[in-house]
Amino acid sequence: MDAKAQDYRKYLDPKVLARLGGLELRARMIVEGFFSGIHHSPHHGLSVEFADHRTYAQGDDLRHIDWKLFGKTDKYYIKEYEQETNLEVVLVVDASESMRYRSDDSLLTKYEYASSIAAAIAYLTLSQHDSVGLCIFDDDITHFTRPTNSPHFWKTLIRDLEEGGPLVGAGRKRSSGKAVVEGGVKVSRALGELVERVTHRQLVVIASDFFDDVGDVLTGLQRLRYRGSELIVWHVWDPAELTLPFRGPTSFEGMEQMGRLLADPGALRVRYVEEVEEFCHRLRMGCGKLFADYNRLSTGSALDATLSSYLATRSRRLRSRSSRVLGGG
Amino acid sequence: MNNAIFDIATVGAIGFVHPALALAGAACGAIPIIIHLLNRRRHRRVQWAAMRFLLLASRRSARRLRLEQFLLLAIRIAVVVCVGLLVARPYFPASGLLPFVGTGVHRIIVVDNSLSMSSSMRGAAGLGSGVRSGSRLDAGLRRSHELLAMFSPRDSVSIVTLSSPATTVVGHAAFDRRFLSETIDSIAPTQASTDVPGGVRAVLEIIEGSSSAPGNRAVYFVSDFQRSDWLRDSAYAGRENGAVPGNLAGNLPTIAATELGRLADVLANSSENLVLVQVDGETRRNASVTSLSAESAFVAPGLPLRFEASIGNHGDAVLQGARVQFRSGGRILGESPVAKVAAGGETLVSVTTQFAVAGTHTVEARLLGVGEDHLAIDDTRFHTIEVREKTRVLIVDPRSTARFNESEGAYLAAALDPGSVGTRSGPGRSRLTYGDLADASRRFVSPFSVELSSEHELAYQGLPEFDVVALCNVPSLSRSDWERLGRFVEQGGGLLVFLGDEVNIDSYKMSESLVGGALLPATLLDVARPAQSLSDAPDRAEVIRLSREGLTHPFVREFARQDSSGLFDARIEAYMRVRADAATGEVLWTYTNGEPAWILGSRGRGSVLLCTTSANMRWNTLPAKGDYVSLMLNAVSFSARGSGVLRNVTVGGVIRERLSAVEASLPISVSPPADFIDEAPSPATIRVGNGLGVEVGPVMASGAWGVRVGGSERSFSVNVDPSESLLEGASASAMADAVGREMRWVSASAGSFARRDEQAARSTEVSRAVLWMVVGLVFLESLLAMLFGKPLGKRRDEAAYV
Repeated sequence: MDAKAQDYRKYLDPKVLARLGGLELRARMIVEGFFSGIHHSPHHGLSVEFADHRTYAQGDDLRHIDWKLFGKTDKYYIKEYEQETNLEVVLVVDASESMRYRSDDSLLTKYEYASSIAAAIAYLTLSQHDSVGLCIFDDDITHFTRPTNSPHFWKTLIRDLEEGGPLVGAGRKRSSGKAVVEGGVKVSRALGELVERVTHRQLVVIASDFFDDVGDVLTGLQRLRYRGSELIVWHVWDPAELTLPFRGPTSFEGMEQMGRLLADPGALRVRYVEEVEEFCHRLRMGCGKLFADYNRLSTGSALDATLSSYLATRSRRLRSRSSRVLGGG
Repeated sequence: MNNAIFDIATVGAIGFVHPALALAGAACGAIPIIIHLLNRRRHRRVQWAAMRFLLLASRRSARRLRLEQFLLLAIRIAVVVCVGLLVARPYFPASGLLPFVGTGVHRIIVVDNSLSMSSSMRGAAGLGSGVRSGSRLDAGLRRSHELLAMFSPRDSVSIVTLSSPATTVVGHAAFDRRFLSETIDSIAPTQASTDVPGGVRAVLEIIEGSSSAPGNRAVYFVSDFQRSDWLRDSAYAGRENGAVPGNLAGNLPTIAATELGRLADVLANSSENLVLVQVDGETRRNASVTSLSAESAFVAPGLPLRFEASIGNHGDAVLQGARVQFRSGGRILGESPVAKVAAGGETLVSVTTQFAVAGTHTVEARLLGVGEDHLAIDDTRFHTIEVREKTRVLIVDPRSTARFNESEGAYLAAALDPGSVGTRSGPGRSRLTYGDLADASRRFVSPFSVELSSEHELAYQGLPEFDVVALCNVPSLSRSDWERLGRFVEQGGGLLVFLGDEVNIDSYKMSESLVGGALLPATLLDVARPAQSLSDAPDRAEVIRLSREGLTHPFVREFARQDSSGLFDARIEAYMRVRADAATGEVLWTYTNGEPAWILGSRGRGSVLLCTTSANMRWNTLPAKGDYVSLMLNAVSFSARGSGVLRNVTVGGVIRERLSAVEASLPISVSPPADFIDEAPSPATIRVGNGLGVEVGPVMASGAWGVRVGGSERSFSVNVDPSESLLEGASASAMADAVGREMRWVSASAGSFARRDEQAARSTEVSRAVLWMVVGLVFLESLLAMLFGKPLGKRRDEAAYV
């Protein structure tokens, strides 16, 4: 890996990303950083999936002549690539108040982390001429844009993500005038609403902390799955939420109006971690049953694994479609 | 020495040696709770998203956490409280924790720590002054520890020390053996004498306050049982004040024996419950300076003065080769060899010196070269004298204004201060001249300041300004005058009384009924006129003169050495027959017919000297003799010494000094002897008669003490009681005879009490049990904290679950 590639790779580190100003720049740098590690040039071969050969005809681009085959057969063949325009990705980002949490050791809130990676995926998707849509929710869906492959959409998406961030405090209202529900945001309700808006097979990428009843969440995901959507679940955590690292008597002020608890974290730590792991385990198991791709993300960890996971899912999806096309042909 | 009286308090079945610390310890139990509450107030606040998991964890762990945290908190409180109680020294009274084992015995240990107990028990010579090493007191403390170990754990113990003044060291019924053991170890030797009556009084007070049954009380005297303390009243009492020495050879019933008998009567079974533990029955060799005094009481600047030291040999071998070094103010006055002194004998050595300036001077007599000597402190003795520029004498004479040969006072004044003859005080003061006598005498600078006054003017005289008042043929005095003279003598003044044909016997009888007892040492009877002149007594043998016999008192002793003194030839033509007071009157000199001539009495700090004849030539021819002046000088000087008596006190006594009104406002400080290591007692201002004085003491160390008033220093001598020098123990039979009761006697040669009961050593060691409890609790707390999942180092941060 050359020095330039190494330089871009650093943008996969949240600590470095957090220093970048806007979400747009952050998303671009994520993509640059991710591909600099696996290609010599990030712009070569993008959205190019080989399908078949055909005989050269006048007017064909000489760059697509398969010169190796010419050497074997002494005939000109043109490489044919599969058409990629029918992949629709819906990015679903949780903007509930709990996503606003950021521990002292973290540099990004869970929402910032989720929106950064969503923007990066959108950039990547649009670059591959796929369609991408955006859904932002807290207790309801607050913003929804149908998938489109317009390159200009990416700027709009960036703006929507920046404006649709979590609101703060009791009595908070969306621009729609709808009050936020007290006692915790119902992710399941937002998913239920999303089902109504997903009209055909789409790749639904959900980034949330899923602080809701795990059964309700899985029910919502199941309904999406029944609609024919493929699911990628990004379960976003702050590192502190996984370990409860506090010491000494601490008063925990619950976000989303969850009340207050004065406790000794040391005495509760073991039990708390058990509860968190139990929750994650149940969600992961539920996702597995739905053939959804479950990823637990920590806002302190690098983003390449997340992107890899996304691309692997996309690739698998295209391959299965391709095999269906060839089988039919 | 630890003189503290330890108070106790009990809480239920537990008693505490230091109850205040117990309360403090209990209060400390609140510390963990306070820390807990403070931690609650000092929590940090955090915003928290994953609240549902925290609430779940909290809900599911609440009961267990509360139990764990309360358990840890309780253990921490217990640890702190136990440490507090440990410091307060808990104990279990027998009647409290162990009611089933019955009531214990209240045992009182009386430890003699007087000077004689400081004597060494080693056989070698050159023992030095290291009194604690191998001393009788060391043996006594060992015996006390043995007793303590022998007592049952149910027994309570009190401790009294016997050196003057006897002190109750542990007055309550103590059970804590470690505390008692430490208290015994803290008993220090003193230079004071044995105070048996005080010790018995202290024991009786403890018994009176004891809750144990009458049969359950036992008293243990741990002492050397000196014969001089227990079987004889002080042999040397008052010697330096001129009193008659006690009977050294006799075996008289003593106050100590009487008091011990009284104690035996109080104890139900004295043969078992009154135990005398003798620590040393042997007679130890010891030589000492038993007294040191100035031969002549009259001290004036520039006049020679002889000091006499009495050297006693209290051992069983002849003392020879010793010498006495006299020192004063850091310079050696002289050194006198001591002649051979037989065992039990005494000898005198002296030195003559003079003091150039007036003031108080301390002379030290140090016995050197004595060889084997078991008590070093009594080898040195001190004596302080007051050298006066002028001794102030008020002569009261009804004929003070008459012709010289008609006035007794004029004769006396001429003898004391020839230059002042004719000076009289009071209203109508005038100067009378007596021709050549006065003229010739003016060249002599007298150490006396004499004033003449009539008896009518006596009421106007400020008596405290005088050292001596001389009544010369005073016919009568009012009761108030007698009362004033009585107070004057009590406060250290001297009263000199000469009689004559004008004396009204009935008026003088008034002095016998004063507040505080009779002032004069004899009762006047009538005038005897054995011979009016030589013609009335043709046979010279029938003429009454002053006797040459029995002149032992310092006042007259110097005349006895001069056979040729004219005093013995003077005719006594008349005298007052008197009856000397058997209790207070000491006949110093008699006439040849055996009738008293000079009688000495004392009252308070002062003395009264009564001459039964006249001071002039109306009743005798003494003024015509050459030694008349010496006789008068001696009489006045001896009378004047009263105020100086308190400059020489015994260890345990107090130093008192009269202050003028100006001096009372000056800063006063105390200078202890150079080798005195304890804190010097503070001076206290006291009322002395109508004036003020300073009091220091009790002083517990021998040596030359000083009291600095403003810029002037007054010296005082503090000496050990010479009776403590007789290192001869009483025998069991002698003690039994003296007390007249059955007592248990444990001789010095008896073996160790030995029966060291392990249970006794253990049972009341509550402190040790509490200590183990603390260790156990700390271990348990650590273990539980670890089990509850908290690293030891972090437990402080993790207060109880809220």
